[in-house]
Amino acid sequence: MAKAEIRDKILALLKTLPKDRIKHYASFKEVQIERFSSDKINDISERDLKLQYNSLRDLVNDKYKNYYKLDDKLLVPKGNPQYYSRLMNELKGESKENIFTAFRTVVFGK
Amino acid sequence: MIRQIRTLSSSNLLRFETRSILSKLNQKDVESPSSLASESTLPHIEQDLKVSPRQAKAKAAFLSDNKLEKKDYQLSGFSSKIGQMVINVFHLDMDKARSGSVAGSKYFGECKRQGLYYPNEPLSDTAKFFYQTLKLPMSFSQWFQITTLHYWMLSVRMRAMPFKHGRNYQQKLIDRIFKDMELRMNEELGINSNSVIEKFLKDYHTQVIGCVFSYDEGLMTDDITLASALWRNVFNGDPNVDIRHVESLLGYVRSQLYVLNKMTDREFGFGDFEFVSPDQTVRPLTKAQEEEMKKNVRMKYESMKLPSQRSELSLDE
Repeated sequence: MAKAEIRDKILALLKTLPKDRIKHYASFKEVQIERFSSDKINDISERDLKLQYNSLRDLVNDKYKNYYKLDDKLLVPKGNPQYYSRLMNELKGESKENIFTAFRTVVFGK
Repeated sequence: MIRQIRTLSSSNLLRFETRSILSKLNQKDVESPSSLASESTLPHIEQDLKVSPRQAKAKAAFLSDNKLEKKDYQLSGFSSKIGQMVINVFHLDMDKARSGSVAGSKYFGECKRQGLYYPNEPLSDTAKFFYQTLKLPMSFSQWFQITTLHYWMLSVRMRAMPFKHGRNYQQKLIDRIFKDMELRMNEELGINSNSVIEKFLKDYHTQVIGCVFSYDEGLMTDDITLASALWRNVFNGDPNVDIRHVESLLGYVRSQLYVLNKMTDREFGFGDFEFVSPDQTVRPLTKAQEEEMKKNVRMKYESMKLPSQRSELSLDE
């Protein structure tokens, strides 16, 4: 596979990544699209470029999440079962903490 | 060759099969984080950090100078008997008491040593992975990011403990990390101004909150979200990052979480967890291995009858 072809595959994969749910100081998607669109890849060998693609593909395909499966013991922690669902609801904008729930969290820890 | 069965827990009961080179032959398998990262020969472009990191000029004690935190310290027979009697008479909550020595000392040491380095001293295997294999810059802030990542992994497990104990363990661990940073900034980095140290600590505290939030989001969503969080925090958002390195660190994190997931509250609460070295591969357990492991754990902890070994932490989950 030629380098240009691998680069196109990397860029195509990067473009499928979802937007960050909240704005961070840097976006992996945008920074890497810019990098692989530039002539910086001229310094990368074809083998290394392929490895970059393979790694990105494994990350997108959730290789490690599926290989090292976690169960509800960690994902719905018995010490604080609502912890992650509240966090994700907030991130997705499905529900917001109000002053009373925020106060409760600070006072009781959950 | 297969490097058969490595002990991951100091209890000598929790065992996972590990392999090194053989895994390369099977594409479906995962490799150890170190060997995966070493495959890439991408030219390293040093990131411009805009500041020259301050390096340690002295070396503080790893834990403390207190004899209680010395590696081979043992209470004398007389003190031990008095202690057991006091625990028995006053019905002391040993899970609460244990959180100090386990989370505030043992697990703190586990988090601290992973990325610890001193100029002109040989690196530990884990430090080699971070500074030589992943080519991260050697600085106090980088050590802090590595420590925060390990703190987060432990805090994920602590959340799954009964609430009052989990919260206690988390608090003891983070308090000790910040206490240690305060001391090291003064003793090792030579910062004499308390207000400067205070300012750095506030900044690091903000970073911990941000890291925990991002890693939690990654844990609940997918690999690429967790990898992006690792890239922003551990790799300092390096635009020229080797994605193979990000993948290897993600595999490292997921494998540690897997081991933590398989430990019972009792084992974890007694301080029987140690992070798996990055040059080893964690392989998922079969049902039979899991059953055998649970049986052995139960046998070990049910034989502990001293008042100081009392615990209400679960032996089943």
